[in-house]
Amino acid sequence: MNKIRAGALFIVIVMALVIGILCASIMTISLYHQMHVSDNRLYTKLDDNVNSAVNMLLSDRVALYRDTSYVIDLFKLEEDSVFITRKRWGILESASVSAFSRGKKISVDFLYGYELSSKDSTVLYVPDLGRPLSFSGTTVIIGNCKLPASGVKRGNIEGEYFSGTQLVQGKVSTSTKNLPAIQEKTLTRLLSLLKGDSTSMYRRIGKLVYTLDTDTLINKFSDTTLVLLSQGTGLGGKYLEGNIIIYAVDKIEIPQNLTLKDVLIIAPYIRIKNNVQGVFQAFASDSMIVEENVVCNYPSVLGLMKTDFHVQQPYIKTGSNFKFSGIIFSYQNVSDLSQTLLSMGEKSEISGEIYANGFLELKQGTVVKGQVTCSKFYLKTKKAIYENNLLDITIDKTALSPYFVGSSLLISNTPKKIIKWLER
Amino acid sequence: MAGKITNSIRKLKASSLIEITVAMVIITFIFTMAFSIYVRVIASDLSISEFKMVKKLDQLSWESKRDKRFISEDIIENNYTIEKKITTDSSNSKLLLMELTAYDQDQKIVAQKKELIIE
Repeated sequence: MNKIRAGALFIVIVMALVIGILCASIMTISLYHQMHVSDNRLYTKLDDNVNSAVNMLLSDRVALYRDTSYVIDLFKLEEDSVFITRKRWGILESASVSAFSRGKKISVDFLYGYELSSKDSTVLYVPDLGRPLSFSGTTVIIGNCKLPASGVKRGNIEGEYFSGTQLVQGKVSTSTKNLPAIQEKTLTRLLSLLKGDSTSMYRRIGKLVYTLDTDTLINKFSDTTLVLLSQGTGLGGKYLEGNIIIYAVDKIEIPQNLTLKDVLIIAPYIRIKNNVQGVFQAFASDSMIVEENVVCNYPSVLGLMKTDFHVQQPYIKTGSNFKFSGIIFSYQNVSDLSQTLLSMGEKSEISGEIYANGFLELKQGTVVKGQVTCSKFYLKTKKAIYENNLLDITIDKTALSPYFVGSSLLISNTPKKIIKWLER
Repeated sequence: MAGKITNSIRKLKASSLIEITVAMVIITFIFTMAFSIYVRVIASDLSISEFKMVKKLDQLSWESKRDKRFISEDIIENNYTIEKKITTDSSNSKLLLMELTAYDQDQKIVAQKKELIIE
């Protein structure tokens, strides 16, 4: 027969131990759950505060100077502080916003620009310099135009007559004698960087990098700018992203196997080799050659700036099948015969804006989804050179993505919009 | 036969009265403590309905921005009242302050959300 022990105290102690362990488990789970809920609420609040700060920045509620950091109490309750820094990035603007509380922080970096005017705005602007425009071949212009008083007529270039029924599919009004004004402030810093013949200026704006030890270099916009002093070549096989300026006093070559994302390229002469793909802003003062099959994704910028009489004719020339999304512009603050030239290769596809303070050549088969502003059109065929003639060109503003955001290049009262989130 | 009867009588060891009393005290204390912990955990935790309200405010904020419905209004949601208050920023007319507050039946604030938005 088995003996049954009747130790009530022993059984109770075992039960107490089991219940104690259960209680401790419940308390621990509850504690972690509460911490999680509390963190979740805090992060939701920080996220709201970041969004509020971004909206505050985009609406110009407070004057925020560039290259200066601000700590702002959003609702004046001393519990919603945000940290904001903004700076020019090429012809776009970048900003870093952080919201912080109780040791927790949420940060976002983004590029922003200006919304394009509403859809009925100008697709083609050519100032009234006394010469009419002439369209030949299968030229199609969709949108409202501001053209010289002498108007637009059907043309014939080397046997290619205008084949359409309507010269402009939109309203045509008379332009003034000048191009739309440019925001020189936007270009001031770029001009000084292009003119900079010493590295002292670059030392002031960022940290100089003489040699790249690694294949990948990513620099956040909330960090100090890295200025990569290029020797012209030697960038092959690298990946560069973010707050990086590639600068050379004479020339820079972008090889096919260099991957660029959001970086600036500044040099008097820039050559972008065949089949390069990337997102970058390139600024030259002498010339820029873009070879064939190059793809520049949004938001890319190609800029040409003439500030010196000594430069013969600064130009940007692109090869055929050039695909570009962003802004292409030329600027000159000197007036002479050798004006700047933007030349888009055959069958190019441009989405965005072209602003040419000088000549603009759109070669046969070019499609522009966006708007074009230029002093004069230029067209060189095998037989002759034509002025203010377009042959087999499509310019269609309605084909531009509604999400396209422009730059602060032109004076505009349109609202600021986010171009892209860099880090969130 | 008599010997077998004697062998089948078992000796049962019983707990003493003191032992049982101590055990009862301990078990009562343990159960009281466990129950109070359970009640505290349940009470301090975010209730499902409150959590739903937090999410409701997020949804309402998103819908207001999507539909550009920037007007002050009260919304009844089950047993809760959500007060949506839109005020214009004094320094910038394009910027609006949207405050969403959810109250329960006792007018106690359950959830709150505050945002600056562009009109």
